Amino acid sequence: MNEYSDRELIQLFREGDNPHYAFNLIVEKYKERLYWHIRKIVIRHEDTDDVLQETFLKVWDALPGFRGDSALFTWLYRIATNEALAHLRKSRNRFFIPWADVERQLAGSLESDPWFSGNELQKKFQKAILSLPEKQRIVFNMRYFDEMPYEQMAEILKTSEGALKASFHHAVKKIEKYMEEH
Amino acid sequence: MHEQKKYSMNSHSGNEWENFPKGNPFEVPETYFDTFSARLNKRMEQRNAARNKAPWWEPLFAPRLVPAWIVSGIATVLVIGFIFFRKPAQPDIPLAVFSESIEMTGYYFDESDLVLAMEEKDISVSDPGISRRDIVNYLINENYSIHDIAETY
Repeated sequence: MNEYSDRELIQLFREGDNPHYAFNLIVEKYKERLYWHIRKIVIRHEDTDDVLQETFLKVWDALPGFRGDSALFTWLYRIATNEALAHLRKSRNRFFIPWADVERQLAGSLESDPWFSGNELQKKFQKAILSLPEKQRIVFNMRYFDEMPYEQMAEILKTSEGALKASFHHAVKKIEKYMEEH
Repeated sequence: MHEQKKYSMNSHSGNEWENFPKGNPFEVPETYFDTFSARLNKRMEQRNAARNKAPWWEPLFAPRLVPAWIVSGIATVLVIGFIFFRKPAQPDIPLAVFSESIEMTGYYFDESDLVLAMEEKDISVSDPGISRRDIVNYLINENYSIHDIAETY
C-alpha cells in the first residue's frame, strides 16, 4: 500500500469526501507502533487491545479539532500514553489498591501471561522496569525500546529534554541495581 | 497452540545498558493486527448506536463539557448548603405559648391529641355535618394558638 505522509492524511481527513477512509489509513499506519507503546505500559495483551481501541476512538473524536501544532505522530503518542496511564489509574481505583501494588500485580501477571515468551532474564528485566515510577518507566521504554529522540519525547511528554535525560539515567541505575539484587 | 508473531526490537550497543537483555519478549496473536481495524469499526458503530439512544441531557455531562469532579463538587456544595443554611421549620405557634405548653404537658400537642381531648369533653356541635376534627383543623388552619384550642376544648 502506498503510505501517505501525516500531512496528506490530515488533509484527506479534512477535505476528502470520506473522512472515515482517512481515519482508517491513520489506524493502519499507527496501530502497531501505538500497540507496542501501550503494551509496555499496561503489560497485558487484552488490556492493551482495549486501550488501543479507546485511543483511536479518542483520536476520531478529536481529529476534527486537530490544529497540527504538533506532528500527528506526536499527538497520537500523547493520546495513547494518557489512555494507558488512565487505564492503570482505573485499575488502581477499581480495586482500591496502592500504585506500587498495581505494578507488582503486573509483574506477577508476567508469570502466567500466554503472550509473554521471554526467558528468565527478560522476565527479570521487565520486572525491574515495572519497579520504576510510572513516568520514569515510560521514559525508559521510549528511549530504550523505541530509540525515540529526546526532542520527540519532550514534545510527547511535555517535559524538557534535560529532565528526560536525567530521568532515563536514574532509570538505568535503578534497573542495574534491581538486576544485581534479584 | 496459537501461532505467534514476534515484534523485532532495536538493539543497542556501546551504552551503559549494554548488559540488559535484548529482544521483545511480548507477543500478540498472529491475526491480531489484521483484524484490528474491523473490530475498531464495530466498536465505533456500537458506540454511535449507544449515543443515539442516550437521553438528550447526557451530552451536557460529557467529560469534555463538564468534568465529573466539577459536577460532583457543585452537588456537594448544594447539599451542604441545603443542610446548613435552610431555615428550620417553624411551628405557627408563638414561642412563648409553645414553651408553656411543653412545660404544662411535658410533650407537644398534635392534632390527634386535640381530637381525643374534645371527644372526652363531650362537646356538642349544632351542625351534625361538622365533626370535632373539622373544627380543630379549621382553627389550626386559622393560626389559632394550640394552647387556646386545648384550653377551650
